[in-house]
Amino acid sequence: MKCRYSKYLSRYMDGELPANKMAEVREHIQGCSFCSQQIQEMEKINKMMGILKEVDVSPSYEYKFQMKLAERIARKKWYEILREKVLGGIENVRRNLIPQPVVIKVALGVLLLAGAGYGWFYYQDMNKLKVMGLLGEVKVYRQSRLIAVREDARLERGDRITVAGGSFIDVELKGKYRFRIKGDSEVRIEDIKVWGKGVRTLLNLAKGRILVDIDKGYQGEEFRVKTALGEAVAHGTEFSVAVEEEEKEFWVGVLEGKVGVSQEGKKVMVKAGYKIEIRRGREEELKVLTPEERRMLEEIRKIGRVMVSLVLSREVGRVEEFLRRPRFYAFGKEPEEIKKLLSKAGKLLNKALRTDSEKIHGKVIDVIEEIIEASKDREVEAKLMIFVAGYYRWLGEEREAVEVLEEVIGKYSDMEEIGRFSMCALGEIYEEMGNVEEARQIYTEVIAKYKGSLEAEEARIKLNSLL
Amino acid sequence: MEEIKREEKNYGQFSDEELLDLAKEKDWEAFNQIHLRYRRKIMNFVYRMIGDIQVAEDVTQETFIRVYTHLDSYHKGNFAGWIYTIARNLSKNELKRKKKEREVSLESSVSGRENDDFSWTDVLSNQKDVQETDARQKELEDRVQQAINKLPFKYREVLILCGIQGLSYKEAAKILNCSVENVGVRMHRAREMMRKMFFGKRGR
Repeated sequence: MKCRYSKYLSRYMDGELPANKMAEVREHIQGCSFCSQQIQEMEKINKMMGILKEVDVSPSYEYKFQMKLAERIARKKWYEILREKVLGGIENVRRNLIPQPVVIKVALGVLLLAGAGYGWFYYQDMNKLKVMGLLGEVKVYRQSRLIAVREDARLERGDRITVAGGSFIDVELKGKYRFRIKGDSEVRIEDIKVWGKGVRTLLNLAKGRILVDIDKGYQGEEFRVKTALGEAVAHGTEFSVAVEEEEKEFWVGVLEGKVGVSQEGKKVMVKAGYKIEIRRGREEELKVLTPEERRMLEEIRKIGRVMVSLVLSREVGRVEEFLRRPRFYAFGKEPEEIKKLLSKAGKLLNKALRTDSEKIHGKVIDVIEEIIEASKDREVEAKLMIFVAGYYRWLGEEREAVEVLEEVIGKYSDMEEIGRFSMCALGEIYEEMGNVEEARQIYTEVIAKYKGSLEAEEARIKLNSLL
Repeated sequence: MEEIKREEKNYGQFSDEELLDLAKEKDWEAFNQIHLRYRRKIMNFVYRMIGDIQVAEDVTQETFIRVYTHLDSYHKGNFAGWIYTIARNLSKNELKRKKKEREVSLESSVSGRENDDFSWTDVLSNQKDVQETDARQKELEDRVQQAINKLPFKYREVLILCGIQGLSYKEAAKILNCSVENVGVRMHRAREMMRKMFFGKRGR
């Protein structure tokens, strides 16, 4: 038995009937046992639906979204460049750029994720300030509006750049200079003028540190860094400079060439191997760089050079996440031999993922090991080794993964983040292999040695789940 | 800093259409704002459509990636309709992929035949229980979700929009690109199917 009113019940419940119909149905229900039972049951269904909690996105949502989007954009770019190549345009660009340092971007991480997308990018714009690479949290405000900042992005006069602790950004004016803004810094591009062969640049350092590397042949031009306490001016010669303002102190150290430092109308030339410290209300002093300061300045030579970073979030659980999907990202100017090897690794990895052939996976690892050997940068070596360990683990070859991680821990744990990351990863692989005792031991060690770190927290969670 | 705060506040006051215009001009913050405005809605919609939270998050991200990369092809008017269409299509694909794994049957009941200690009447008459144990809450949610999973796609989506997300028929019609009457009809059928699953065929 079915009541002719039953077709209205759902709309009645949702209040989606015209007012007169609502009243009519209401009245009907009171006198109809069929409909009143139906309504009761439907209300129960509604209550049940109310049980469903609203969910929110996971804490790593934003990070993963940014990564995916960046990868998608990079892939799109690659296709665009491929198209250009088909049209023959790229050949000319390539020929023009060959004698000069070529910026290469190899996103191997993209390959692991998407199984496609690999390419070179050549910079065509000579007169634009461009982002070479960045790591961590960097924000750029243009007319007080936050803008997207990625590799290849253009910076303009008036842009304000803030760099969070532990992060940095490398910026380049091709063929002229490049600089790195270090963590905990705030810089405004006061002026950038390019005319013919000339360039004038003025950066305003509100706080933090900038490392500057000026190319040879940068003559009769100007690169200035202004702070509240004074100004550093580089002109006419090859030089490198770091500027620091901390606790109202203005510090300029010079690794090569010379830099003019002016303050309240006075000007002092600082030569290679020297530094000057200016404090408010005190005479400036010219001193020889300490070995520590010299080492700190050596970082200048790394600006824009090969830079390998593991694709990691900044959250607890990142070791596990990395092991599940190991990825790294390389950018910067590579020496020729590494450039070739990275390209080879990329192509092989693409093939390995397509065919899933054990032999080709092995070849990928061989080539990456070759890169590690050819590299002269310990940090690059260590990170690539962690990637290789992750790759082994991904292939299910835990024993090899353990071996590689043990080597990293033995050789590179003076770099704190590398140390704790690889130890935690080792623990997790032990755990997977069923070596609970070893896992427990290493987790305990991570917790004791790296108190307060992300890995200590991850190790603590893992350890608790073991007990 | 003051300046920036003021700007950020302004973004919040922009309409969807204004933000989309800015986003088309590569204004990242405008896109972010749109993302923030819709991601929870889309996430919950997709989650209830698919029933797997991890996959739902991936689909949500994919939805916004498509929004970002296809901004140029968006024409003014009905952003909610546009973004939900993307999310619906992606969810549909996801479900198609998974379809072979599961037999869809409207006949089977989810009213707790396999666990006799469990009764819906208990649950509904004593909501305190629900809060008392997370495990029980989880179990309830699973059962309701299972029932939703059994609905055909077009009934499922309307039930989620109007029955869970609380949209009016008019709003749902805009998103689903159909008439308000049609929403009413689908809603009625969706409820009827749910009712049968939980309370059997009584009253037919």
